[in-house]
Amino acid sequence: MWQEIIVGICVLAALAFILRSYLFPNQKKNTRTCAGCTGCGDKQEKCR
Amino acid sequence: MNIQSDRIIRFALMGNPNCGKTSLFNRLTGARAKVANYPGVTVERRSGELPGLSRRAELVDLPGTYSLHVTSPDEAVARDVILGQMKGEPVPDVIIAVVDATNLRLGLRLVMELQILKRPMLLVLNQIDAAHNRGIRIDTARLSQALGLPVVDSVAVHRNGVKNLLEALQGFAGQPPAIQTSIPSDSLAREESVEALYTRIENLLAEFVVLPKSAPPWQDKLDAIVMHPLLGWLVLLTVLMLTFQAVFAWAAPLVDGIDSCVKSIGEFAGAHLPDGILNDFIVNGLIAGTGSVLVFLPQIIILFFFILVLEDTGYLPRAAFLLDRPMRGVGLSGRSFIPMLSSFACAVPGIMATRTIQDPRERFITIMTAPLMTCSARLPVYALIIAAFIPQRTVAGFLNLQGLTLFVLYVSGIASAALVAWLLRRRQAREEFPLLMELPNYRWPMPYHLFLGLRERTMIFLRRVGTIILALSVLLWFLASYPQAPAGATHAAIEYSFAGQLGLFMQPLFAPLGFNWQMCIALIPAMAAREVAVSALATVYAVGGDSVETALGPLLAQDWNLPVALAYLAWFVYAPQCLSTIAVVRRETNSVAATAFFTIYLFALAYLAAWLVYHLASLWL
Repeated sequence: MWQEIIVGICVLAALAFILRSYLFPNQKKNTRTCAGCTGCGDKQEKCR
Repeated sequence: MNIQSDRIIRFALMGNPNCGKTSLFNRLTGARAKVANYPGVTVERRSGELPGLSRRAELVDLPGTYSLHVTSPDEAVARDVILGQMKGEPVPDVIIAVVDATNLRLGLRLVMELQILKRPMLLVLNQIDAAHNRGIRIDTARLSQALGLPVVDSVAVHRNGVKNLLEALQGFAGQPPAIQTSIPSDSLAREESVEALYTRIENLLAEFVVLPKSAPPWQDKLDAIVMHPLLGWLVLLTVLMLTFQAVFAWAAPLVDGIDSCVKSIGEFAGAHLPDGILNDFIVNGLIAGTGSVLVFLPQIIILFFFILVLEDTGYLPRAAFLLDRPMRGVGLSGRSFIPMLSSFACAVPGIMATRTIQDPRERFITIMTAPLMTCSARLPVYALIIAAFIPQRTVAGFLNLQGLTLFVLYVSGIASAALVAWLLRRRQAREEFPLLMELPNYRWPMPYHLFLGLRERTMIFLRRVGTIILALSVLLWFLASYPQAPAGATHAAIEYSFAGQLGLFMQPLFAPLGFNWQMCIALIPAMAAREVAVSALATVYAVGGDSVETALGPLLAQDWNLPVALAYLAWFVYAPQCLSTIAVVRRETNSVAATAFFTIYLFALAYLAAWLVYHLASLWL
């Protein structure tokens, strides 16, 4: 049973990460220095 | 003028393209924004906190411009910020005018235009070491007096090269900044002709600057070769071939090393974890999914090593001039070269770099075609399939067949972009914008720049493996494992899972291309990032019962045939399998219709190309 719980938490965390990254990108933390787009590695970075 | 004693002071870096503003920005703020030895790398403003001053300070880096009378969207950003006309952007308190000390004539024109604004300003003579090496001597004190501005010299790429600049900035920070108001654009009306402006500059140069008789002769000799209509092409093709050969030949031992490590970790985890779902999750989900992508890190590093060396030596703008004529033949110009080149790393900054293009139609076509350049996310997919299906042998005496195949895939993307551009442009009347770009001096690649660039690309790749690829591998493992097969099931368990059902549902659509249901599954998560296709295939085959101890390549070689593998490669050359790219096309074109056109035409092209390749290869191979 404990194995199912650990795996379930991991799957839910992964799902939350994907949803946050692609469906709610605005909830990403702001960085201190905005260094422009660095490509897909940091695609949601907001620059004015 | 109102004065506030405790508010943040804002400095703005302004100067010609490729004069070293972003290097200064990185040096002063500790940021790691992209720099390269060619103009047009920075296309939007970026800001950072400037530490080490007695007052809190912000530094803003702006795209390069030769004049405040702008001609392209990126230059308009610089002008609008300086004039205080950009919405939500405070007017800078102090302008830091950056001039390349090796090219004062061009830089001083912008400085004189900026002086009309009557704003607090500082002139920075950057790359002063390069100027000294070329025999240029500048009387900084007298130049400062003549211009009525503080003038300091700097070497942005050296750790101690900005000491004078920091002292000068402290001079501004030590006083309460006056509140600046925005300036209307019409106040930029020329008070004197360009000729009169340059006459003034010539007088200043004659009085305060000692210039060498001529440029170093070896640079001219080298230019005569690399920009020669025939020899130049030979040089370009040799450089490209060498790069792709190295990606396979040099990376092989490192790839094998990482592969062995991943396999050992998988075996260790499999042997030491208790049997059950957690064992399956860690071995077939986490390790198979992320490890299968991680092994391609050496190839990505080698590819970017070559690109960074070419950037830093100053070769790339020469290649842009070489390509200007053929690109004009398909309706583009050398101006599209930098965005296209950036797209070899990632289409997102490539599409953003189209802001340097003046002609709106040319900009649109470049946006539509830039994603056909092979981005680094495709490399793991290409490398996996090439290693599995193309034999490791030498052709024509010295060419590695695998490297040659990779070269052909890159060329296919370039040729297709040219064809699409020609088709999109052929019915359009076009306005001629000649390519005017300053050629930087040749220089040895700087280890510091190479280190920063490679570290950045490595971190981007590892961050993707540790975030999006890991998360998608976990989800895919779940979808490939549940629901479990019913009692008395006759097919493999994975075929009863969500992923199996989805793959079987999609398969008829892709059957004309020869794709099996496992390949169809991999296409879905690959919309988030192309390299996820590799981890998805690894997870699907691992969960499907194929031991993770067997490398993915040999598994594919058993399950697919060569025409199918080639069709899958063709699909990845064209398909817009990247949500970030689609989002940036939407943002840069500001058009839903253009974004829909972009997505549909590329998927249609991918389907057609994969179908053609599959059927032709089935006939001939």
